[in-house]
Amino acid sequence: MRPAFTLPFFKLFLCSLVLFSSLAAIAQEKQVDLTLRAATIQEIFTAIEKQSGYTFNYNAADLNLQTKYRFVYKGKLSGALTHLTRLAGLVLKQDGSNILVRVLPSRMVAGRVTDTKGIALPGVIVQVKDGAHIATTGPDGTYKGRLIAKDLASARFQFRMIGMRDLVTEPLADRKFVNAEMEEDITMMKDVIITSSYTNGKPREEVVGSISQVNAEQLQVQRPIESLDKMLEGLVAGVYVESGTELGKAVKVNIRGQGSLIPFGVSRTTSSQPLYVIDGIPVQEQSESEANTLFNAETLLNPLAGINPANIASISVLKDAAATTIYGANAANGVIIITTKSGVQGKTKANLSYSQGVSTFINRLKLLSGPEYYTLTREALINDGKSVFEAEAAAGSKTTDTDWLGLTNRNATYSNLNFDLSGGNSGMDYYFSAGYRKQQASSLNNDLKELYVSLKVNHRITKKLKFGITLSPTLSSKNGLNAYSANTYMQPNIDPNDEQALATQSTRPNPIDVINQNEDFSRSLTFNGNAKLRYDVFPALYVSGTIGGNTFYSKQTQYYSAENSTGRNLNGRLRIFDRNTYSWLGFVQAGYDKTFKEHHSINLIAGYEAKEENTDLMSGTGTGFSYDKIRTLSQASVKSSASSSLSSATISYYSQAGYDFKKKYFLNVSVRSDKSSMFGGDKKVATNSAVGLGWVVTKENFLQPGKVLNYLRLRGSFGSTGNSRIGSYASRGLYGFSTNYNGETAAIPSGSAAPNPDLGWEKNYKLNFGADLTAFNLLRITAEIYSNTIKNLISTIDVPLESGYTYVNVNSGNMRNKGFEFSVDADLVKHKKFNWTAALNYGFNKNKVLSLNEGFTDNYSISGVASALKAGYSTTAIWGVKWAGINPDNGQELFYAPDGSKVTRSAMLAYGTSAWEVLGDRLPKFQGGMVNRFSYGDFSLTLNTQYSWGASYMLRTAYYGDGALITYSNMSVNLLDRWQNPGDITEVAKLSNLFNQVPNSSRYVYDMSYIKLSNANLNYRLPEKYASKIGTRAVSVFINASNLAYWYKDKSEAGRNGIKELRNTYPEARTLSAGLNIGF
Amino acid sequence: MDFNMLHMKTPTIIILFFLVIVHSGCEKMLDKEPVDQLSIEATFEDFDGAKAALAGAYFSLFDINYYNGLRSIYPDLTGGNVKHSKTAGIDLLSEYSFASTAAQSEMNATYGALYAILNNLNYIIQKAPVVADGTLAQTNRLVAEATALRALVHFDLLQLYAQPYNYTTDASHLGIVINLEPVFVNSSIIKRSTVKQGYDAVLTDLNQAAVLMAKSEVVFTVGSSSNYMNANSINALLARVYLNMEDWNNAYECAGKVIAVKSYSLFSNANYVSSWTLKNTSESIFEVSVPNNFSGNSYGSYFTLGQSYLQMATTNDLLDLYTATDVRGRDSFYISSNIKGVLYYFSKKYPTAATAATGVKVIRLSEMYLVRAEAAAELGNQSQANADLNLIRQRGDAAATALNLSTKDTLITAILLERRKELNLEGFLLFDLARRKKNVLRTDCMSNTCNLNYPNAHYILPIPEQSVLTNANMVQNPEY
Repeated sequence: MRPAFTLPFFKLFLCSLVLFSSLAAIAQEKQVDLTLRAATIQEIFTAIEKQSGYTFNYNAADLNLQTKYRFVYKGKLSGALTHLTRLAGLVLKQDGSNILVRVLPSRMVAGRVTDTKGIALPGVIVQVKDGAHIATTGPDGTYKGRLIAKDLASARFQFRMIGMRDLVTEPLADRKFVNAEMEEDITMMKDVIITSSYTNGKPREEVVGSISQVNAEQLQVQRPIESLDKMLEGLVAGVYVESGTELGKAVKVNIRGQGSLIPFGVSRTTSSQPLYVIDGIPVQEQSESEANTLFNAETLLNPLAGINPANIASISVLKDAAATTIYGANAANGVIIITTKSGVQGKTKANLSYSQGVSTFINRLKLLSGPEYYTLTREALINDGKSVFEAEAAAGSKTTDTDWLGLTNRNATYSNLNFDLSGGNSGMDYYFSAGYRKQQASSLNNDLKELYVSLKVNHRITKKLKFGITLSPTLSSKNGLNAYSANTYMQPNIDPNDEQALATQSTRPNPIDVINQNEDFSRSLTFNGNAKLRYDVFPALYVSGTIGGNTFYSKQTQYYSAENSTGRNLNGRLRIFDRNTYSWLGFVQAGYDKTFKEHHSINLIAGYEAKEENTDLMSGTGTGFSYDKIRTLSQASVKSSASSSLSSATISYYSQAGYDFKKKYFLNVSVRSDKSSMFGGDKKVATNSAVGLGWVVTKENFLQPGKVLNYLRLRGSFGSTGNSRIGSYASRGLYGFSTNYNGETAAIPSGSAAPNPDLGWEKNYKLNFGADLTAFNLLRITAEIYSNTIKNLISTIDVPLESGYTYVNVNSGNMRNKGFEFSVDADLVKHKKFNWTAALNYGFNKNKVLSLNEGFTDNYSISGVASALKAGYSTTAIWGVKWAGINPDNGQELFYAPDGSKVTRSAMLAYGTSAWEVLGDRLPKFQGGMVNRFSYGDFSLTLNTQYSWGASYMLRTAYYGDGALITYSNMSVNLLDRWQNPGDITEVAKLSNLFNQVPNSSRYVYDMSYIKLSNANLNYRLPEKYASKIGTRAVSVFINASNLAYWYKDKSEAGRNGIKELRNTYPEARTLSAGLNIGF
Repeated sequence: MDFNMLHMKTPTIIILFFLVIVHSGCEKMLDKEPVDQLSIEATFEDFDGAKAALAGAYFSLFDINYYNGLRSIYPDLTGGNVKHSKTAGIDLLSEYSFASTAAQSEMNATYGALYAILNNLNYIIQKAPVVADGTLAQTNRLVAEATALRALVHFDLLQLYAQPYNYTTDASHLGIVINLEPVFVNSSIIKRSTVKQGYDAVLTDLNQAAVLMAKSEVVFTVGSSSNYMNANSINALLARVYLNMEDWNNAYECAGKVIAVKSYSLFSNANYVSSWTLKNTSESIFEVSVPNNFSGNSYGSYFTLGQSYLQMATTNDLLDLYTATDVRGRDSFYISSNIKGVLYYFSKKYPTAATAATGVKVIRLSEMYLVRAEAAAELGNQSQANADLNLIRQRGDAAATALNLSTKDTLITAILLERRKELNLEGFLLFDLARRKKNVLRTDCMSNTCNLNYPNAHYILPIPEQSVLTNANMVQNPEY
């Protein structure tokens, strides 16, 4: 029996909120309806008395009986009384059916508000200190309003405006004019932060959780980067982007280290990636290995490339429990909230921007030339005992020198066009944008094209009812035929036109033929859309419903032509993969937000969410094409097809409650309960909760803002989150039906993971302390320490092979990520013409597996990544054996055995993995970035710097070994330094084609510490007076250079390859671009 | 009721309504079943599911790590019938030099694949008798075929991972893990038994399969009957097992029974070469069929020209054994190719590829004649031994004169030579050398270790490291 999923608390809370709202609407309160164009106070009293049955008790002598007021009101009695209070400066107090009237003194006041430079400030709120609103300044900075107070002389004025520091005046005394000069708020604590997709933004000061927000300007969307995940690199403390150089491919984003164990093999697909939420709708993470193996050959596109960077208004990175627990079981690896731009009320504005650029290689890998390759191949074969004749015959041409890298690559171009239109009035606003981006990869014929359209409309149906809709389709197409590693490692002494040599000497297809004759392209449509309805029951309470969908259609077509060896033996081969992902999400919630007795603010939300994701897969394969140019399945003489689908669903209840006292002490509690289809049996429900506290210390009497410390806030939070993204059927024992025997349906036990019905949720307990401070009216600093403990880690345990399986997924480990983050930014120079702003961030993270796989062995992978999951060590540690150099006597590799002695390769191999030790860590010890922005007049220059320290990189050794693959592939130029004669001191062993490499040797581990100048952007803005002359609102031009310079700690030897050249599969490109923005 | 109130309530009601609708539909939404997979329970609910599982077991025999690849080539490569013709991207490089390790042996994949098949077979044997439908004769058939396959897999494991039966006088040396029911992952019962116990389990399964087979009706009607285990293939397998046990009487009898069945016949000398392009020939007693629309690498890709994965060339050691007039020899049964300046010879066994690829012939009639010849020689029946031997010799070499060998030793030597010539690339050589306590002698060989003197630990493979590391009961083979 499965226990019912009942959460009395949530249901009760939700129902009562909804019920309460309805009741309030039909409450017994008296209604009044008055239209008095010019009436004395007494006349108004009389009119209200008639309609309400209440009686006003007053002393007529106190009232100003001459003044006539205009009083038009329809609604509740209480509203009428409030209105009256404001109008005539009265204090009204209800006592049964009597209303006692007292008169307060009042005075008309006026003034002008400016900043420190004397520029008028419009929109400044003028109020009595912590009390009633008096007026708001107009465009010229002036205001006029009536001040009503018990004691006019002692009243203080308070001026408030976002971006400026609150200003409180001296007691009014007998003044009638109060001017104010407001200072800029250096703390930026009033900036609005998007804290989740369930709530509106909050001033930074009220946010207890650890949230870093990046706006479009900081993101520098003008950079030639196709997706926002890559753009985040170096911008946010604690966020490490493992960026690749391949176009359109998803990158790995680690927020505060890795929150789940990476899976070994393909049986489990636990995500270690953050949850991305775009305008309230989560982006479905695509995982190939989850699907039936028939679909494994498909290449996936990065779904985040479907979002136009130009549309992004802000990105919030949620890090600690107080911030993320509202996302419950999906938040273990952090949450990234992407908010797109909205329309702004006012005149319609249009922007047009265009940029174009070109990329060139940097840090290009150096490979052997044809003659060098010949010499080394010949030598390796002779070393292996072949005769000179045999070796020379096998080594191929002595003189041919083909630069395959040059032939299959190019200087790539980039272009980007964007148009947006926005506007609105008090009832409606809209934002429309369209964009086109074409980005070529350096590899010939590989490119990515995107066509983005987006429309966002918000409509106020009535004063209380709002409706909003967002629709954003993106069309993408990608060509990915040119495989860099396959093509550039082609033997360099083969002439590309020498068919004979290609056929006999190379096992690879001719890259030029592949590029010209084959096809591999994907087309996809990403569609994000959502609609929201919000109803304000009364000012403090609202109910809202949101429904959204995220759809991804993609079709990949691969054709292996019969004209070259990739498809020759099958007479052409066509493969088509069709992937449709539909996911929808709906949530309804109620929210309550009110301040009581001036000092107690409460905000509450509670909601219910349902989510479902479906992926349908279809593929068709055909071979035997009689005519190579018609590449449709119908032309194939042998065809096969396959289909599959995956689906998952989650339903959740969530609630968040916030309380603050005097905006000084803050409390935040969140709870979320998720029930997911991903888990087996009784383990379906997971409840996570968190509590956060904040304290603005500089609001205490004992620590008033001073010259050194302008602001200080301390925060702390603790709570749990989970990870439900473990793959759809990870716990099940299944038979797969994707094959046949003699055409009879055949079923075999699926996968290599044994069934485990006990598989349950991971829990990620997050503890965070933070401090935000502003010092010297200059530096804004945020520092945080955290400790995230992950319990019931899902890990993969090797099982005895005799069970018929290779591993089983179990909740068996504990892990901890501890770290420190620091970010500081400052307006270093602030001058009328020259400004310099700098922002620096630093993140330090340390991971440790606390316990793992009790009763079973620790888990190693013998693959190139050399990972191991072992208690006491980091989960991203690189494991292997210590290399001891080359024996000068015989040119053989030596290794350090566990006892410290130097042993040969075969002796080392005999030790097996038991001799492995930690050689480095895949993730850096600390990393971060720095952004400097200079402006001088209408010019501005932005420089992005990134740094990463302590990460190691294990090279895929194949093309760097000591000749193991030399008859088959070109090799690194480092092989020129090989051992040749006894006594040679070198780092490259005697060449051998029979060489069986020792995997995971420290020889192939490089220190990846670097600093890079990742981007520079120079912008010039045409002065407004010229811009308007040519009929535009604003015009600017820019030039941008990405990947400008690198400094690696581990230097490459002159003329040889080092980490700089070896780090990326595709070489990195430096892109220079220039563009123009015009606003109308 | 005034309009204003109605107006205020409506959106609340809509949202509340939505909440109720969404909620009531949601609990059901959480029950997700995969579409191209079924749970173990659901698979064995009915006869069709159990039948599909058995078809799956046959399909698994065609695995690249089993008959369609490593299991078939390994004994020929290590025994000296073939050598590598390339230097990169090749299989079994360290096994070729008897230098494989428990951590890295490529044959570890074979070990895992074989036990995965056993897992499936054990589910069938356990659950097929209790499926909801199907006649007793039909379920008997499923169990009979699965049991016979289980014997085949166990026997292959014994040959690969344990020393031959006659390694000790009572076969009490280290055998393999015998799996007779689904093993749960946390089970600690996984232990190696002795070789004697292993052979006993194989014989028990084969005899049980034969009994059930007699009380069954055919369930698979597609393809040839030689694609499935039947009464004849059980006998043929028994003959092979008894031969390894040196149980000459039973080997003689079982091989004789298969030969006596009229459904099998030898190809003529003239048709021998072309017979290898055919599926399910009259010589096939058990042939693992190719799945429909198969387009991957078939076993023949190792040594058939025109294939991208061509890498196993026949050694001169073997080629030199044939007379010039033998159709199985260099001139008629081989294609030569110059690879990087060296001339290599590739066999025309399994010369068709992709969709035209033939199944892998696991048991062939000629083996039965050679088994009976060897048993007859051991039993002193020299006329039968000479007759069976000559039948195979002269079928291959029409010009050969009939032998009439009179001593057991000369007969055995001639029969083993004929086995090498007739059954090369069919996965016998190393096992034949081992059971006959012969040394491995490889002249046309490029390795640091070309020869092995019997007995030697490297006649068998290491137990994969994973099984040893994850199981305290597991004993590794000596010297690994």
